Amino acid sequence: MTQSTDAENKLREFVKFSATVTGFSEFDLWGTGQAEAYYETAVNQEGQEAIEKAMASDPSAVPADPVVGSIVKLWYVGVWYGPELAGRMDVAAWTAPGRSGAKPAVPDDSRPEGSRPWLAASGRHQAGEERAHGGDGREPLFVVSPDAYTEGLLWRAIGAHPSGAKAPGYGSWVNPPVFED
Amino acid sequence: MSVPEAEPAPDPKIKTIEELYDYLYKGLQLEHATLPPYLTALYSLHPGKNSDARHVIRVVAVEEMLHLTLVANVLNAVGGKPDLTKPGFVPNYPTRLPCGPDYFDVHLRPFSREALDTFLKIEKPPEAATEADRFVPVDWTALGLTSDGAPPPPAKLAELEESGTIFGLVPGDPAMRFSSIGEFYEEIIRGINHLEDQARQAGTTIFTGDPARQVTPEYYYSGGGDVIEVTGRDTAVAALTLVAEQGEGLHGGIFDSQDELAHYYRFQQLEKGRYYQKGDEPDCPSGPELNVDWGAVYPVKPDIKLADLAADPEILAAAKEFNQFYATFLTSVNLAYNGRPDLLLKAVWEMFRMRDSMNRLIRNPLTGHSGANAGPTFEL
Amino acid sequence: MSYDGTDQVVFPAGAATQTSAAEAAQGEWDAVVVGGGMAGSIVAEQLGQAGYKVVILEAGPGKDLDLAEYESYLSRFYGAVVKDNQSPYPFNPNARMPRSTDTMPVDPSTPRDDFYLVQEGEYCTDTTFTRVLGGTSMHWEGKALRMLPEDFDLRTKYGQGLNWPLGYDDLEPYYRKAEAELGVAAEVEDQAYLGMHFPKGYVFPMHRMPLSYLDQTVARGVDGMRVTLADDEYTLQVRSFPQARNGVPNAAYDGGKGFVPVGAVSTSQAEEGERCQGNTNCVPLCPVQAKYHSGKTLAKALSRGNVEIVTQAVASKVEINEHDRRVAGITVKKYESLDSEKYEEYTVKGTVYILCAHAIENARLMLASDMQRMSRSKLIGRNLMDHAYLLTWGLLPQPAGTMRGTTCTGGITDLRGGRFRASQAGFGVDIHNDGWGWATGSPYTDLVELVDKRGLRGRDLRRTLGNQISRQLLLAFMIDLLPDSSNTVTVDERYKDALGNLKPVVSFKIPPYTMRGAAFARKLATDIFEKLGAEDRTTYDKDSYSAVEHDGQWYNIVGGNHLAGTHIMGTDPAHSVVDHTQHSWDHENLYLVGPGSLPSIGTSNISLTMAALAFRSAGHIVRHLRAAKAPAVVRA
Repeated sequence: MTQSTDAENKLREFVKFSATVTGFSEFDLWGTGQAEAYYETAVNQEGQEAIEKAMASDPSAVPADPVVGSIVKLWYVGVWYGPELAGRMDVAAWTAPGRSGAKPAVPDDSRPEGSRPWLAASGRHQAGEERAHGGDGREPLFVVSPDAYTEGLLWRAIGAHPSGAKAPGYGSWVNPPVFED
Repeated sequence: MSVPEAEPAPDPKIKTIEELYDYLYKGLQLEHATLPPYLTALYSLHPGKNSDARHVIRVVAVEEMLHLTLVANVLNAVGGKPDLTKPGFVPNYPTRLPCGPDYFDVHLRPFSREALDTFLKIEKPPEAATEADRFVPVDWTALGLTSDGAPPPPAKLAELEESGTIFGLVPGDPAMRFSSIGEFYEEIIRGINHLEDQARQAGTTIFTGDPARQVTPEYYYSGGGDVIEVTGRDTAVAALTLVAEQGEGLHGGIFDSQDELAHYYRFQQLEKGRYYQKGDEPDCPSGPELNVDWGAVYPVKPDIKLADLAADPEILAAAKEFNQFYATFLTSVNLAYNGRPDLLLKAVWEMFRMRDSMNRLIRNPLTGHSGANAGPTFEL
Repeated sequence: MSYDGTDQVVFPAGAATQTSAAEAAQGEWDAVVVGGGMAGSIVAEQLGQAGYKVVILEAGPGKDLDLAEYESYLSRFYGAVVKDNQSPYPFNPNARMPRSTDTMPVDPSTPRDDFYLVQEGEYCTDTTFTRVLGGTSMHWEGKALRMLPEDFDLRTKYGQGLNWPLGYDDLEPYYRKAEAELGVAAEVEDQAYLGMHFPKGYVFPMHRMPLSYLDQTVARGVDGMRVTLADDEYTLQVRSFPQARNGVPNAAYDGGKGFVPVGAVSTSQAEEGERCQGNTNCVPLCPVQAKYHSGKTLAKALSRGNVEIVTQAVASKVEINEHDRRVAGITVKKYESLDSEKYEEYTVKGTVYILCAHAIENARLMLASDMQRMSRSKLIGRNLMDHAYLLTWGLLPQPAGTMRGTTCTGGITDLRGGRFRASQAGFGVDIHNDGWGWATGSPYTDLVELVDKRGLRGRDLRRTLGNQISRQLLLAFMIDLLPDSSNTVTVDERYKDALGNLKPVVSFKIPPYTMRGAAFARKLATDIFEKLGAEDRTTYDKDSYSAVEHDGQWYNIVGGNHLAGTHIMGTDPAHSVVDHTQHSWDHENLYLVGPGSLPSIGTSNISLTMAALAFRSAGHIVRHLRAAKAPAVVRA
């Protein structure tokens, strides 16, 4: 690491906190190579104060701090879903690696009237080309980087691998799944 | 290879089938020994960057697996038994390989100009013009092993070989080593010819191995050359020639007999920033440009050992787990070479598991080694 | 290939850019091929091999189909927020392609770039095809089923659909050619069902892909299950699908010569494309090129020298000589870049013209060229077909390893054929190794549900996700859809793309015959889930564009990306657009090669049949060219 010790400590704190909320070890989180990018993303999107508040929040509180949810999802799939998108199943469905077709069975009761944030990222807008910007410079929805996708923890949690990366090898799929713990 | 056909057939160093087994075992050891350094460099590359370097190193590593398989096929064909699980089979890095006029250290380290330089030395084409140049004396003093230049006593020598610290001496001749990998395989080919000639005169053959122990193309294929089923002298020579050529090129050219660019020249492309194409002369690639981003690399601590990880219990546990994966992988490959060729498919699963495990290690910063990351230790 | 493990597929560096449209327009070509997808590549390769000079006009970018470009597709997919089946490919206003995300009814006031397929009706299909070099073969799944013998005379046998002008036995040798070109992995013993037969001693190029643990789990409940349908009883079993991807070569192939798998396409020696590694990403893109895509055929064609390609050249008009109705040239709009609407127009001329632009684009191009006027059948653009997919999903009692393997390794194919087809559609059933994703957006929807709605964190979250997603079972029913002249592609002056080319207007409805199959499929899914002890989680949304009502029930029928039938083949110019060789009835030097020629699609994914027909037609085109060029030789 090339940052000052203070920055290094903050990053280590972030990883430590992330380990508790994701259920993966600090080793696993560092092992994604995404720690710095995720910390930066969270801070840039929500501000230092909001991140520190989220890290200090009671994880069992109801309702939980939505920023914590954003951080968990970030580690799991590499997508930054801003806290305002918490619970948005429609947005989740559009961002999943869909193999073909539209997704007809997504309940859209959670979709606010007239809001279709995915449009900003679909159609002519592709990764690395252009992103939807809110007026305040925040971006409610983006993939942090191509490797953030492949480093998602979700795939390890389900005993699989991200669609399109980290293949397990020819014929390995004949065996029952193995869940690491 | 390097010796013109016109010269009288020199006295082969391999005179018994047991000596041939020893040489071929050494060949397995040698082919395998390049894997840990290549893999460490490969997975030290940041994801999404250095596509050219990634492909170059990946193909070479895949072909080293092919070489291992080809040598195993030869050993099986002459009735030997490959054993990749013997103590000392995996070297203790840094180690030394029997190639080139300079005796250099091979380290486990991240991709860098220094690492590339070592890779070039490993795969360097032979320069021996005469029979005498095929061997070079071992400089024991330079190695810091003796003060008077004489070989260490046999017991010490055995210990050094056992621990994997030195590597690639001429079997039975501790004062000498081969001037290139090509010469090492040339010696094996001479031995095979010698022993097979003798056997034929007696109405027998040295190719007495069970054909079912051969790894055949349905079990092994990749983009980088194909496995050769060894059934006799011609296929044995073809297999060993391919191993030597794929590293160093054929007859001084940049391609091997399968029209694959030799490893030395593959690596050289990264140094020169340009791909070779058909018709190019050595050292003068004229194909498309390629880019290397020397900075887009994780700073793996060179020659890392488990002992360096005391302050990082989670990393230590993962490094131990990796070594277990690696041992399992070698065991699977060994079973595949001992009558179960279908298990090579399973070995690939283990290789992919190792890939993921290595990636995690390499991205973990170490405590107390400022600016250095962890990595696989390959201590079995 | 000497010892080489996979055939080297070296794409000649710069091949895709070395011929300019201007040069192509000055050249004298034996054959002008529109479209560099599977059909176009096979035809071009075959004609080139026969010694003819061929130019391929490709609408898509494909600067160079090399490894770097292929990797840019992969990286774009990784980084895309919306990961639909077109997400790897760059947005191109000059040669738009449909995206499932654009599925909606449009009218002339809808912003031009928000959609490509014009659908004005209530039901909108989310079907797609891909307009990049390599065509839809870049994102196809790789299933390579043959059609059943009974599919070729459905009308005679069951009084439904149309008969083909040729039969299974006519196509059988070409199926074998296609299986070699595509590198199909399967076993004859699995595939010899419902009358499909193979010459004695035939083996597929590679051994079957192993069935996934999920398939095996389903098989434990399904194998031996009996179903009664139209007074006949059928016994179900889980069977592996033939797949065009590299597996274990069959040493017995070609009389014991074995088969050499074809590796990745590259311009340098970055050998890849070995065995399928189980990336579970066949659609939208195989990361290691283990799956066949037509770049593999194209690279072969281009390295041989007779074939050239012009990319970024959108065919905008087929020029017809009014006197003899012969095609006089193909006019292309050659655009500068993906960011600019600037283009130049050229007309490329040849002895024969072969449209291989896929069902919708072939029809669109001909209709935009006012060719319906000269069509005796008036069937250009009519009989548009696509498999109707009904998705059903359930939660298995135990983890079954979902999300591993190729997208689909096994399924149930026993109800593809039978006498019931007199009254309802047959179907194949895919067991989707990738879980509920297609239907619900899983696994991301599971994540959001567990994190945001159930507040799970830490180990609890991790374990619950593993347990929940690994139990997902999605059965996708691929249902036959018969030719219906009211399912159409047309053009409409009010809808144009950035280059001023007319967009395809699609009017597509799911016929009752198909829906009867769908209703039966839904019931069968319920029975299967019950047998497996799985909780049925299927729901259909009647407000979706894919909603279809049948017998008082709502279903969602989604697109299969198996578009076919806009220039069907037949025995008679009054009732078909092409003959059995895909030769236009109305234009002597025009061939329409591709799925548009299929008079029916049965229950097999269309690519293998389309490839077999392309091989067959290539032979006829060679004969055509030989005859057409013979007088010139005599004069000389």
